[in-house]
Amino acid sequence: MQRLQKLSRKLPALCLLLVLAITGKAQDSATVAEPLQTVQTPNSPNPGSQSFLFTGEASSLFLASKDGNTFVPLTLMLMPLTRINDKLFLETGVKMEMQDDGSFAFGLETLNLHYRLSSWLTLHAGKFAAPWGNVLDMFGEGFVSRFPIGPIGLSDDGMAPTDLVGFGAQGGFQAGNAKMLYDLYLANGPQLIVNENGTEDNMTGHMSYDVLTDNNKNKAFGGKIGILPFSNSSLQVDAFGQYAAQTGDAGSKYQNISSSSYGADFNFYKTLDIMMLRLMGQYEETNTGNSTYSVTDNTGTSDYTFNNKGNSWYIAGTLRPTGSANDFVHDLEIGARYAQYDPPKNALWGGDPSKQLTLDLTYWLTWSSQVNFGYNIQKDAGTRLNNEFIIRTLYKF
Amino acid sequence: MKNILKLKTLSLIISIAFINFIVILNSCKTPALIAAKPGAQLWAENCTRCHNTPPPSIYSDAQWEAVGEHMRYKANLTDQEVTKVVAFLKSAN
Repeated sequence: MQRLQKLSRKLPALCLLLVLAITGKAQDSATVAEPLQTVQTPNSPNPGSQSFLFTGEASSLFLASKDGNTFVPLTLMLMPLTRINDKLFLETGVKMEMQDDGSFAFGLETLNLHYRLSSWLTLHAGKFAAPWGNVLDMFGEGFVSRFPIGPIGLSDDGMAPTDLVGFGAQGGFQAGNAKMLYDLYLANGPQLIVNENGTEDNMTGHMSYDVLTDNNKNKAFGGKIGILPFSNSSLQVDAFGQYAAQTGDAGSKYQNISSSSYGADFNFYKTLDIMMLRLMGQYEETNTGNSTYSVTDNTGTSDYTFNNKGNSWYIAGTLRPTGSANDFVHDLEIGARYAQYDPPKNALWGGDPSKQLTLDLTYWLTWSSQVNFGYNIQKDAGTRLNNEFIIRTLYKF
Repeated sequence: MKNILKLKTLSLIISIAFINFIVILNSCKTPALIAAKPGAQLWAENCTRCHNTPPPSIYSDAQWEAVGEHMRYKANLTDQEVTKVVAFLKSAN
């Protein structure tokens, strides 16, 4: 009681201090704002703070194998980048793919608004590529990939997140001589595919990772944490994961099937006197809750279930003779990559592991435009070995 | 039940990792070696992480600002790296 009385005696003094503190702050603000008012006269030119860059890339592909050869229609990726002000940045990506009849199909790949809260924390929202392994994240753009086609099971054909709609927080900061980075998100998440009609091309039990709308109230959360341990940033190691408690349609018997994915990647480069060496790799695994599905075909309706786990990985290396005095040799880069995709063995879309070896010779036309000559040897489950010769041209503007 | 356990484990891992980040962030000062790096060196080191280094002359000052901001998020560059690299590219284009 005595304490309360003492406190009540001190209250007016505390209130006075608070008022002084607030007015003091207001005074500070006014002194900062004053010079701005004198500068912003009606006739003064306003240089503006918005910066814009219209960039993108165009690519074409030629494939030749025993079965025949074909030009794959042109792909055009438009990427307008807008720095709205010091804190706001809009990243956009529109993909245009030529169709058989010559028309173009449009797809919104990225629409991601960033708001920088501090030097190490940025919030972002929209549609964005999953910060998920260096295949999609670091080497996602064609001009960075160095190989004419992606590694099997780690692009759109795999069992891990590719595109996300949601929001996230990301940043990078110095931690002694090392650097650390993070990218965490909350997104609509994957959707379970259920198809009860026929066994041909039936993807039941697989996830759809590029859907824009949500099929239930649950959200997926995940992200990436990375470290660059050396002061010259030559090595980056990341760990990433995602969890969605519900992936089935709301109200369906599959609603509570969960999906968890995780993995790790690395990227290392070393510049020697005569050449630059690059090594990279990635591993990812997805575990989906097991369930019993019904499938109807010519023989009637039957139930089937399988252990719904799969993984993918790749390892690759490239060499570029950066120290050569010969301009032509200097602009060459050779690469080799091995990739493996191990889907659930007993799934309608699964089977034995698929294996892929890709050899590549790149000629750099500019710092970012290139011609790739690739040789791809691939063995998919239940099929014979397929050898392919590939030429890709890619122009970045 | 199994899902809830997974959810709790993942939440715990992410929370601990994030707290560690904050602790590291607040306990480590940028060493003099890193702070003294010029923009040209940071440009060479960080661009090469993923791709060839672009020549400074290909973009205008305003365009480099947009590129710098893009790379802040694409490559998770630090604030100091973005500031120094963009200043170098604007001075050299």
